[in-house]
Amino acid sequence: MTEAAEEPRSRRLRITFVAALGMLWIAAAAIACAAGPSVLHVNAYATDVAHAYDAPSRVHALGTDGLGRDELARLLQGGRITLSVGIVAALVSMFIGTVYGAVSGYYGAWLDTLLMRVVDVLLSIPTLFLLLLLAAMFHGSLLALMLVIGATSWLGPARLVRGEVLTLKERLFVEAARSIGAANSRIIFRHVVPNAAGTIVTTTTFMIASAMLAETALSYLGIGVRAPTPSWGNLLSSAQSDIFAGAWWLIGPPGLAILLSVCAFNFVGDWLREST
Amino acid sequence: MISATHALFRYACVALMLVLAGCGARAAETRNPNMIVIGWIAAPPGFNPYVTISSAAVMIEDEIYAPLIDLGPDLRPRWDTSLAYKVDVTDGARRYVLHLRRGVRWSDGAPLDAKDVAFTILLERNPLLLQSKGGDFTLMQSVRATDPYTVEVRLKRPSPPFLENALSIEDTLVLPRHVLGRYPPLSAAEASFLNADAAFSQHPVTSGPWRILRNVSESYLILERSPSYWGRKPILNQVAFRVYPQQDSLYAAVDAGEIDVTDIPPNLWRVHDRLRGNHRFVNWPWNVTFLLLPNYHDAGIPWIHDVRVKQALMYAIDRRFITQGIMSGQADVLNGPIPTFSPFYDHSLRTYEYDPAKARAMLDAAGWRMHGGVRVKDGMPMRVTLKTGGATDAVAANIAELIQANLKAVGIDCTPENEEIQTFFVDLHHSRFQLALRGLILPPYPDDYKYYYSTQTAANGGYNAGFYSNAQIDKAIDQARTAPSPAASRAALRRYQQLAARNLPVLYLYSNRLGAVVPADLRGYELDPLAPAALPMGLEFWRRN
Amino acid sequence: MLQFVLRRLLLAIPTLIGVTIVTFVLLHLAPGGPALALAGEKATPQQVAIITHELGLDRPWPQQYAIWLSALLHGDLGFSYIRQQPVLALIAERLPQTLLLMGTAIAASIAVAVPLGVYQAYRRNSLFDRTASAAVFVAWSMPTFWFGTLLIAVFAVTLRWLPVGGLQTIDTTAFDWPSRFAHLTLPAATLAIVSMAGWSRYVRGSMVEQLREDYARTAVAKGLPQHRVLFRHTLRNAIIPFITLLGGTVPALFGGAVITEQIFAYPGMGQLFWQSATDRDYATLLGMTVITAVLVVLGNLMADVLYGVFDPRVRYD
Repeated sequence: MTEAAEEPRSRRLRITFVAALGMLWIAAAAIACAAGPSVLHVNAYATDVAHAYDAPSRVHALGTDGLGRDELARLLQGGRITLSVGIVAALVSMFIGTVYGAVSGYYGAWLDTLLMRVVDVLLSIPTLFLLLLLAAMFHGSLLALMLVIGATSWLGPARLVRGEVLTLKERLFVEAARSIGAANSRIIFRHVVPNAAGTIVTTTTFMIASAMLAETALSYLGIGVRAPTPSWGNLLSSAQSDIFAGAWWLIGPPGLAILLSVCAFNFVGDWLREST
Repeated sequence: MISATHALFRYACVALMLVLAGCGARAAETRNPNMIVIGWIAAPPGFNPYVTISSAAVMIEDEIYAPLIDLGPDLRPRWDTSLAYKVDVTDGARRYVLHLRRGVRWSDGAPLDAKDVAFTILLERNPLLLQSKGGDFTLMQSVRATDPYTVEVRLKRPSPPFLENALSIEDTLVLPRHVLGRYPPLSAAEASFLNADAAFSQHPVTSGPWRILRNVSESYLILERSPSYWGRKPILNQVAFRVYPQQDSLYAAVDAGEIDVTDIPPNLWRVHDRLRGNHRFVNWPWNVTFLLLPNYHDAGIPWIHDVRVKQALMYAIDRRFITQGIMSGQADVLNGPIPTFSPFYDHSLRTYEYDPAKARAMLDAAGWRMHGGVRVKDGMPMRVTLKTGGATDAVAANIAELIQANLKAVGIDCTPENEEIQTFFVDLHHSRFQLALRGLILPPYPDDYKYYYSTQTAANGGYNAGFYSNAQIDKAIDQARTAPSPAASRAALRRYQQLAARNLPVLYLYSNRLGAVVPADLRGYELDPLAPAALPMGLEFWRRN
Repeated sequence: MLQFVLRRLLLAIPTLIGVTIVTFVLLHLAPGGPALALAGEKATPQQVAIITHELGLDRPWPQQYAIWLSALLHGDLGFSYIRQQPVLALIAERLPQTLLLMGTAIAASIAVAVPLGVYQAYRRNSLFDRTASAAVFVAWSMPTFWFGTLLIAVFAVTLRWLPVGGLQTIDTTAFDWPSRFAHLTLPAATLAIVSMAGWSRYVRGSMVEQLREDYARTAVAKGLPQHRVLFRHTLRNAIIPFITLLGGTVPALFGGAVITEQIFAYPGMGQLFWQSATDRDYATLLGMTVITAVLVVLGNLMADVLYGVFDPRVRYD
């Protein structure tokens, strides 16, 4: 890494337009999904077969689906699921990755080589099969899905954190801590990791984005969020054929919701990376 | 200031655009416009009918192999396209004598005779074959070639379904003994050899109206008219099959003019008139029924033993919306074990119209009272989980969710549980379910023995995964499948249907219909209720006007 | 260098064995199995038991693994009963198609990402940079199947410029380049757009960093024209970490991409893998895992060697 002098602090915290937009969208989406269904008095589960496939109207702001359920309600309900899957999976991924990478980078030598070789082995294991297997074994539980997405995506963060730690461990404050006899684990987790916070936070943000996309892809393959629980991923994949069937209100909103949310997290992550 | 590399990059982009545009002219031609292309979502893995399982494989096999006894769209034998031009049924329906045509040749030139037929009938009962008929010799006593063109099959007892179910195209496609008869019949060696005989599976020796010109696995297949066919030669010279694993891409391919014939699933049938091009849409009944299978041994749903409760459930489920709404008319309401289009259907069967009020009254009368949104009796709430298999099917998901809503409206708490397909089969096999949404492919001659007969549980080699047991229904099923005369059998079938509609071994939902798109100028296609895949068949009769 | 290569190859063997053992265990943990999948829906437990025995699946796991391993060492990857072909033949059919598709996608991706990232770094914080960044992020955030179906709806159905799916025109057996290219365009574009987005960000970031370095600033201060600084010096340094990033695409190069292959009816390794997983086709899954793992090891080794070639600071001993 560069040994350039630290940039002046005043430059670092300037927010960019897209990052601000991103943060606004995330906040708005989170609030809408959390409070929306109750505030708007819409029900994601009430079927009304006489009004199936209705276009958007005053009664149903985003129209209805094949069973007459309110699409706006399903979108908001689905948002809760997708956003929480994304955030929890990212946190799981970062937690495992940070611990693994920090330990590997700090101790170095044979432990580092061994741990990195294990990463190589894990990279060669077919992830998709692992996901299918876990989905089959846990009968589609949401918690299992979050853990599974997290558990199959920590390898990248681990490498990044390891890279940061490798640099940081040569710094003065580490020397100082060692000289006063602090235990290694204390040094790692009380001193080194907090200094890598920039990288960690940035990577977490990107991981949320990719976890949300992963949920979408898995729901498409049938091993993500299962019916009847709506999620943006499975709303989008069950409405796939509506690209040809003309029910744009069933495919447009979930697609846009995913696109904008993932974009938002990516913009924020990029801004974080630029400014730390 | 633009650097050299940057300029180069710009020129490359422009060149790329030009090449793409040039390809555009050729790209739209992905096939010869004179050849008919059929699209399907799966590719046939192999062509040995007793080793491979796949709707696509059966579809092709039905075209390349000559059937021993061909069945028409009315489910009756059709003799002029069968290898056996005549069958004598004697000795109280216990002796079948099949008279085979002369002059039939295999695609490798060898003659087809009675020994091939006898060989095949025995072969398909080798229990170690992957798609064997299970080694069931409780019915067949002997099979032998009495002369080069006559085969005699003797049964231990009369069996009305035998001709249509065991000897017809449904079950028996004749294989060449001179190629495959290397080991003693019914031996383990024979099965091991055939199960792994990739050479024959990929390049079969056949005797039907078509033969495989080219097969690019998982991509496309071209059939050409077989010069050595004994019967009326196909009118078309070649027919192609293309594989599109994604249903929406299949539909897009029709819209783009890339394929001519394919099925239209229910969710797209709703809007099929938007397809561009010169098309005709066809719609026909399919011999497949969907029902809710209860597990009578599950302690969590004791109410399933109460016929009044089951009848109430039939009134509670909006099967009309399932068939007209979710399935867009690609289904008919099912009133009993036999679908309404079948010649064996009893038209005097009682029907269950959608009537939630009546359902509620019936449940009240049966002692299940509403208590905070869920019905309760003797402290037990009415709760059930509904299992479905295969998560990529939006229609099945919608059906499960509709049933959930319908049951909730009458006070039953239903939780749909969707499982990955293999897990679903495992759970079905081990009877780990309360209610399962299940589809049954019916044989040409109705025979529900393995599904509802009390002894036919999984442990005994049957499909009665719900442990249903009812002596009257057992008797009716027995009579239907062992009656010495067709009339007696039909009368027994009527009795069976009446009993089933009243006692409800399962909750009957709907029988499928199939929808397909064909070119407007195509003639001669057959809409077969026994179609292995949701496509019009009868390829040898196809012609363009 | 030779020692390094040999040592890595030797280390690869226990890695491969580890991978196969883990995959083997995972396979057997999955509910269902090849016997059930082979027997199909109408199978009775008897039939399933018979097939289980025939395929040797009722033997203890270590014994099954030993049998498979010894067959592998004799060059026999096994037989796929559900596909009625030897596993090696299946892979030999699909691997070239996947290499063609993924290779095209990666090449297209690099061809766009590198110049774009470099130019963005050159004109950083300009309107072009900001718009390009936004566009790139949008591309990065799209679900693959949605984008793919959209491309089909626009280019195949509405405009009829390109085919919906398949490998090439079905009339000929010969390898028809224009037709192949046309059929590759949409799936490769779907794949390329997403990866191109990530890479262009990476290249841009890497270049910006290099341009801030002392040596770059010194060169500019000394009067060298900016674009010369760009291409002669900083690009070379910025590319080095990019090669490691490329190394991460090697598994995908051989593994294919399930969703894209499904949507565009492109019979590749990804689709074979997914179908085998759904069908519990153990032989094919294990065979594919071995072949892919071997190719990944070789690919990573090559990436490391190239790294050494580009960066004289790196020494292998």
